[in-house]
Amino acid sequence: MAEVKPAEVSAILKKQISGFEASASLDEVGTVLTVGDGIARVYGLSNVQYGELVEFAGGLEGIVLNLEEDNVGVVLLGPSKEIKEGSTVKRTQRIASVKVGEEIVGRVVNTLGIPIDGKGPIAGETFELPLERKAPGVIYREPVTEPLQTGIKAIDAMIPVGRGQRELVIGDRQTGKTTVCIDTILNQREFYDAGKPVYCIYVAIGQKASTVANIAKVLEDKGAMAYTTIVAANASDPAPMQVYAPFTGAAIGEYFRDTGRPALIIYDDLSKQAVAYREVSLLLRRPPGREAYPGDVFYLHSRLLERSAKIINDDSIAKEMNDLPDVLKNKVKGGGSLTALPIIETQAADVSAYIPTNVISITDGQIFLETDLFNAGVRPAINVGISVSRVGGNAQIKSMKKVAGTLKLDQAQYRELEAFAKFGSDLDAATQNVIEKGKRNVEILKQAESNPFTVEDQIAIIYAGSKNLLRAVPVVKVKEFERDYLEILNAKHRPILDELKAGKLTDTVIETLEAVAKDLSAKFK
Amino acid sequence: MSRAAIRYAKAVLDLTSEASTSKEVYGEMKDVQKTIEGSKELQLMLKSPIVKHEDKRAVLKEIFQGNSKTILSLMDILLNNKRVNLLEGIAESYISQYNKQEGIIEALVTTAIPLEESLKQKVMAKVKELTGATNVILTKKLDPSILGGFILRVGDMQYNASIANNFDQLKKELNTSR
Repeated sequence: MAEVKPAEVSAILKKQISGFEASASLDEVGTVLTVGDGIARVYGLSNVQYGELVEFAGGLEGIVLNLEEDNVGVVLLGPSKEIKEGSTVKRTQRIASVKVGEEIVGRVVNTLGIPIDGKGPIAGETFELPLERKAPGVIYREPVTEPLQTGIKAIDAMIPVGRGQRELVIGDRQTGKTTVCIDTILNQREFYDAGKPVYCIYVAIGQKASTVANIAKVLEDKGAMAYTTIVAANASDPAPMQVYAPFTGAAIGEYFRDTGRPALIIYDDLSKQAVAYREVSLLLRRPPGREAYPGDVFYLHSRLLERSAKIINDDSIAKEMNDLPDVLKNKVKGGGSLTALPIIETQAADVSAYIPTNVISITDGQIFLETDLFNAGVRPAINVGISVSRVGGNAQIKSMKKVAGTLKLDQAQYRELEAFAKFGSDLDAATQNVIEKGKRNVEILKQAESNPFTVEDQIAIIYAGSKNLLRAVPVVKVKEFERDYLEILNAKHRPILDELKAGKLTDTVIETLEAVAKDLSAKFK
Repeated sequence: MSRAAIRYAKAVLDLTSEASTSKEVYGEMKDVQKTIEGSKELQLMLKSPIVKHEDKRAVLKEIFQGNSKTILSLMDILLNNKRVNLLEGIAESYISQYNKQEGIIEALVTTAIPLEESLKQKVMAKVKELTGATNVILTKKLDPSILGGFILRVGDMQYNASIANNFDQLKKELNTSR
């Protein structure tokens, strides 16, 4: 950065001060009655609206969340140190919003959209978008048809995610939920390099600042920050900031969605957001319900996740979209999408707790991660049997659909027979066959962290697995086989892989794959 | 202000309007409000469920003995209905309802130095201009922390023409354009 001359600074200041016109302001005000626990009760402000931003003495802002007969409940978006009983509160006539522009990509921002990465304000043209916005209506949507490649074999083959889908990632602590999502972001690098980026937004709620810094570093190192925005409300931020962080992320995602581009948003994690919302609600004295969550915690998540959508690929209809902010009106294009991967952390694999059941019912499918599998070395620890994708099947590319069609069933069968595997040779040939094939498939579906696979590689190796081409390869050598197999294909048979990528599974492709696998497996005997 | 207080106040106002004694009662209500506001003990005693009604009655009789019959019978009714804790709210509500009826506006002006008569007239004119009211009751308040200028507060509206406010605005301006 060029050095700043002192003269420059004072010249700028002089210009600003000379241009400043002090004006008396006419405001609607109220008086603070009580303040505590991040909640202020205010007398007055008789015309204030629900969700409006109000300003306290000293510049601190708050959001109006309770309108009562004789007072207004305001949640503070910062420390309440400077607020005293009797100090005045001003209406701002603005609702909570965030400034979004092209330059927000690659930045780390807080809930209010203010950068916290020390790289200065967000450059370029910005648009002020409301945090709370209604989801697009039925006529502005389209069915999910395009795949969102996660780069994880187990997901892309058996639980495919489409653009505009909402796929829940659920599991206990330390099962790799965040890793699955970060790997998905990393895999979008391919599309960024091809000039068709999927804009990613990672919303960190109630996490340690060090964890967020680590994730930012991983993304930076792998070149993923070029198309990613991080929204962070850390564990030390006030509860309202944590409640609204996902909405900030959604507002940023909607900017890309409504300007006709694909976006991916990860909410990490919504159980912490629900806990923060419970805290705010209890302090506002709203009646508690099940597990002490307020009655509208379902609505909190449903209205957030409904904003993920695939927008109709027709500009004239998309322009008519409901609840469109004025600033975006002449920038709207059709065909955009917002895919959501919300994360929920369960306690002791209890998916029938309140928040997990709510979010499972809202989303279009779920990916279950299990501690037992994780500890057995199956990573990503996805339990294929109970993970589903309700709409992603239509989004899978043809060749993958053909190849992976039987994989899920095969694996389910293998899990059932697995218990008998201990008896070894006492089993009949058919059963043994299923078990041996299943073992190899499990090996194939294992994948290291930060190591996304391209879709053509995935199809090639899964084809080999599901057609039992590896039967001659010992289980411990499957990984080795996979590496060599893909190396040979990439080096010598690139056109075949390109055809697979285009969704074609022709006879020549099948012949080549089988020939390569046969040659190679002979070496591993 | 509770709903019950508003209803009691409305009843008193209707009664006094009929008897055209509303202006005298208005003055007395102001006294009542000031007295209760000024004494923490009185507030506590009126609210306390432990103090016997007869004791409350005796105390109120003693304090407000010179007042009109309307006020005294209001207190009796409140004691009988076990609503004497509303007394302050009723006085407050009566005052605001009377003001509304008569087109009176109460304004609070805060200045850094004591307000001169000529300036006071100007402020009154400003209030009339802003609110369109005919009758203004001006309360003055001194607050050196606003540095200069004045802050005018009418109900929920605040007209801030103080030097401190200008500084705040300047500070914000410099912060946002940084």
